[in-house]
Amino acid sequence: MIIPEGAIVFDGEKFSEQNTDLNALWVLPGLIDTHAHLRDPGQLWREDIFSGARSAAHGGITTVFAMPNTTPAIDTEQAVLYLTERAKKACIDVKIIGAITKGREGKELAEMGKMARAGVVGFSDDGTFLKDSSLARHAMEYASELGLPIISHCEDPYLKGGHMREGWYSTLYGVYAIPSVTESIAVSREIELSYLTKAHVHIAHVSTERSVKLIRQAKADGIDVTCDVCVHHLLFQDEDLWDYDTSKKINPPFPTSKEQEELYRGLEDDTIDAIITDHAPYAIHEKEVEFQSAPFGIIGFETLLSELLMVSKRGLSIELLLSKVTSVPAKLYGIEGGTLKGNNPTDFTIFDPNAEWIVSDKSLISKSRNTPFLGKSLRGKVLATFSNGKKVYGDPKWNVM
Amino acid sequence: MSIAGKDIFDVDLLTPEEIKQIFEMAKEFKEVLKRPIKKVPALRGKTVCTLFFEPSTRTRMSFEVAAKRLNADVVNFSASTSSLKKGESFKDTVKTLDAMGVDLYVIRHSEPGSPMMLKRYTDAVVINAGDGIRAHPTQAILDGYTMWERFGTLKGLNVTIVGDILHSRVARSNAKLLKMMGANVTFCGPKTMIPLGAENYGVRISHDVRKAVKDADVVMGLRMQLERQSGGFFSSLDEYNEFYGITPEIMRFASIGAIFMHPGPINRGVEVITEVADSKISQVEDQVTNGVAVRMAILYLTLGGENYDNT
Repeated sequence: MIIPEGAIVFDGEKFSEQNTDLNALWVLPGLIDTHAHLRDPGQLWREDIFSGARSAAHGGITTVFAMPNTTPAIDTEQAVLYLTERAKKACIDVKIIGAITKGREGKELAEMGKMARAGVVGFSDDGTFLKDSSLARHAMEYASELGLPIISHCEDPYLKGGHMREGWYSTLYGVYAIPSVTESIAVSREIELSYLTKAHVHIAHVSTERSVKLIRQAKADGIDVTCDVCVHHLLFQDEDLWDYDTSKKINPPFPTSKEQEELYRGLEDDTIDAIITDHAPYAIHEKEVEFQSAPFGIIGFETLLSELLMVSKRGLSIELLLSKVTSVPAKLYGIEGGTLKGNNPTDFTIFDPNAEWIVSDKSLISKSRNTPFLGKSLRGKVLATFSNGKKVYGDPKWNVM
Repeated sequence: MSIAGKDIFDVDLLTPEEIKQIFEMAKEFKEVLKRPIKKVPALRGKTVCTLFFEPSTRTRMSFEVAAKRLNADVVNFSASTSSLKKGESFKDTVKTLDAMGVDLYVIRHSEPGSPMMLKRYTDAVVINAGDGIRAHPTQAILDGYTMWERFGTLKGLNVTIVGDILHSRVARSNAKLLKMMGANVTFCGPKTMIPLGAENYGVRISHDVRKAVKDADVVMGLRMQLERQSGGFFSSLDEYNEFYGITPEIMRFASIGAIFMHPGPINRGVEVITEVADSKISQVEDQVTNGVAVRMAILYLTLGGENYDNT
């Protein structure tokens, strides 16, 4: 492992004690992003497994979970094996989430056992909520038997349909809105089904006050529920949609400022376990349309660390935030990495927290450009990323081990 | 003070002085409309493009008549007859039209924010003629003008807007304009149709039409769309009419000399009954006439006119 002179090492939980000058270069475990859309197979004009992996490497990320809402959906053993084979040639580790139901249609269970055999790390119909509670129950029972979590996209199917969070700003901006309970109603069902089945349910991208409170209570009650938050939801609010910029359109939508405060509290007391990017690439022409016609999603790999620095400025410890993209998700999903403890770790990132860079057509590696940071200058630059001992991003001056 | 070159996305981008200036100008143009030859050469050589992505007859005609009275060339683009059906994007449509040389766009679209989006692709003046449920500034200005003409001022006027506030761009823009000009505004409707946080406009919220109309100088009805019934916003048109319909009996709670207004088209027997809609206190037809005069003023002033020589 390369440790540049004067650099400080974050081992996955804390910085090396001998040097607490946070202005020095940081050596971090390769980051783990447990929720991303690589658009492979079938939507390759947005991203593919290789461009997605290189984009992640630029963000200091060395492990990515690929969500199965592809074309076709990753809902069979063959699809998992195909993607696994492609993933071998990607520059970082890509782990695969299998669909819960065939075609993500919410009607019949996909062959979860066979997909588990082929190596998926969890199951999700991400993008849609499984309406049928009986089927959801059976999916949980299956998944828990296989030792894998259900990653749940929580959205009441009858309350959804809007384009931003309901509140004063949706009224002012005249945008059809999604009430916050659209999420927490679905979260409640998942908690109750986890209580029934004892299955591990992981709630993806929580964005509301009630969701956090329900999960906090569920954890206190000993229910096996965990969750994550998307990094963008910690920085943007409903009010920020004043310019109808479709690169700020995301599902779940940005919270009100009051709801965002609860997300910060949830991170601080570990109700919210992990932080994700929900990297969701869309081509320029797909996003360059009217606000309510635009698809939901923001890319996130390449700005993740800069965003975490901004979040820490709002009062959360940077060590806590970094652990939520390294050691915590590793433990949560029982995967390797996320730490620099032990012998010769092979996934790590060298990061300069003071260097600035401009998010631009030139600097972005992803195939897509749908980020509200486009054209903006950000603090905190990844200098080099190493995955499995190989340099996968960075200037040639950073030598290979 | 000049609104030359200014885009009219919504009323809150104008100052009370600028709104007053539009009122004064509209008053002059209203005189023109009474002449045997209702036309002045104020905008000769200018091209106005009405860009309608949503069906509309009255607003579009009002703008077209206004532009023609000022001698502008008017070209009309409507989504139903256009390339949008062939899958052309908003951006490409606008860029194509813009290449033909347009000085001012009047845009109606079901999408909130679309006038601002249009502005990304053009240097021409953009007038919002209704963007989704967000804003309808020229309607609010003509409504304000109608009240101003009648009462001499908007200051201290009690205005009650009754109906589906949630889906109403007219109510939203009116609330902003009327508060800006010093009026007291009440929104009245069933809870299902009052948008969240509406009190932040500085308006009073009421669910009881009698209380809401008490001491009102202006009672404004809004069109109730039948399709809202399937969304569960109300149970039946009959019930809605019984609880929220404006009747002579309801108008008796209002101030002496109160007027009834409606942006049209009216659903008789739903939000208002004929006895009110066709009564002396109804301003519905005046609103239409004033609409042309106000839009003439807006076109004229935004396209650079200062002091119009009315001789």
